[in-house]
Amino acid sequence: MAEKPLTYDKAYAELEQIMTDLQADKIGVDELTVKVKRAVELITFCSQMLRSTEDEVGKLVKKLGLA
Amino acid sequence: MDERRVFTLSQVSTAIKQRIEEATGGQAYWIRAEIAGLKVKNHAYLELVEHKGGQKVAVMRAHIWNSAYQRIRSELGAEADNILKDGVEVLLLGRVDFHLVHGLSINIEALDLAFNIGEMERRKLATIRALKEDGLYNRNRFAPMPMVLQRIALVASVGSAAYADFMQHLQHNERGYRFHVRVFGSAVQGDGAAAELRAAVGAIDPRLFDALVLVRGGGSKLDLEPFNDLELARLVAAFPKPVLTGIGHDVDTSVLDLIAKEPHKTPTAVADFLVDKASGFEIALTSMLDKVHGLVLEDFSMRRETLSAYAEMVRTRPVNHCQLQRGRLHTATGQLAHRVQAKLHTEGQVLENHRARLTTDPLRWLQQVKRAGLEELSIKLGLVANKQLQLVALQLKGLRETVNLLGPQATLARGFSITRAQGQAITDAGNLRPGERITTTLAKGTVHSTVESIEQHG
Repeated sequence: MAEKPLTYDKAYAELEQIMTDLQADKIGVDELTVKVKRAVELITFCSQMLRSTEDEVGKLVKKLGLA
Repeated sequence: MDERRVFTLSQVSTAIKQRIEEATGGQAYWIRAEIAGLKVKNHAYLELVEHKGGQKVAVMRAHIWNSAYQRIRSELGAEADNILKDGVEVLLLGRVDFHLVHGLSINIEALDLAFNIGEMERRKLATIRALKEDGLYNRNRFAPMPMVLQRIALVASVGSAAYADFMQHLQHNERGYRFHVRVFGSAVQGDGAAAELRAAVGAIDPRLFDALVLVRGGGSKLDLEPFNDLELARLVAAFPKPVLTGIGHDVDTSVLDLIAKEPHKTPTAVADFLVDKASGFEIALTSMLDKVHGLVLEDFSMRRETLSAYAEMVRTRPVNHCQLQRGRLHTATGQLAHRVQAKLHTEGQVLENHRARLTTDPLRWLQQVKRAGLEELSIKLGLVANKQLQLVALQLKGLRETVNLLGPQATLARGFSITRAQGQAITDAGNLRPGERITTTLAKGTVHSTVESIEQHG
């Protein structure tokens, strides 16, 4: 997979697709491991993005001497 | 020699003086006149003038004796310099005084301050009326108010306490806001103040500023006069940016205060207003930022919840999925076994059939061959039997005829009898009634009897 830089939105969209497929039992056993691995990657990525973005926002807000 | 009567000057003067004193009776009059050429040495000397249509229509000398002058000044208080000056119209209490040496003069004993204040009010009202007629009175109140007023055009008397107070409050505000103030210096009271104020306001380019501020320290009522100037008021009312006044008086209101967007009592109050406005803006910004921050956090927490739900699903789903698949596999295995068995069974039967056919067919063949032989035999047998049967049938026929010939007599002879009632043979006891008469035919003779009782069989 030659990846473009992953963004939160892209990662989340992909994650949702996997979750939808997973819920609909659309994923074959062969793919399952690959998809689950990918889902875990995406969840981790999104969580980290959220965390770091939140920290960033927090810092910005603090910088203005507020909050 | 002419019979001329010659008077000395003093005689004339005395006569005039007497005439005047007779006419006035030494009484004081309230006189309305304008002050001109006022000179104060020990006493005050001046001219009283009346103008009409720009022309002097009356002039008379006047004086205020020192004692009266001091009393009047103290009665006028803060307004003394505003009233005791050239060009001011006053209402004075005076006596017509004719001095033999100094001539006719009005001795001023009192001034009516209320008249001047009333006059000022009247002029103020006239100014207001004129502004309203021009449609200017409310003009500046509709000037849009920016959220922050930072570039200030200040009209003030540089170096005055009002100027210093305003600058101090504005530039050293607690919150450290920076304001850009450009000063347009002007006298704010006294002669020429109105003209200077007009020039100062006229010199301001409204595009460069957020607001126009006019300040002045405290002063007397009549000190407000320049701020009631109609031309100045026109300029200020038409100013396209908000005008803020801090003209420094407690009770009275100048025309500029009436037309300004933001009238305040003191220069300090104007400065505080500007600082508060900036502060209000900052607070609004802060709360907006807080709101944004709150929304971001809320959004994040929702996203995080979804992610953790997904994580849970990723953890459990594949296991479920595998279990499901395992279940299917199990079912499939079962079905496979079942189908294989079924198939084997069917195949077995086919084999069995073949086997059966293989074992039975030769026999059947044999049987068929035998049957053919037998049929032939039976046909032959049939023919023989038929003849034989016909013979027997003929014999039987003969026998039957014989039997028939025998008739009932033979039967009767074997002990049977025939019972009749009213000539009809009775075969059913149910057809008889007790007491009925019956006849019984025997092989030999007939018996007549009466039915006693009936017993039915079957």
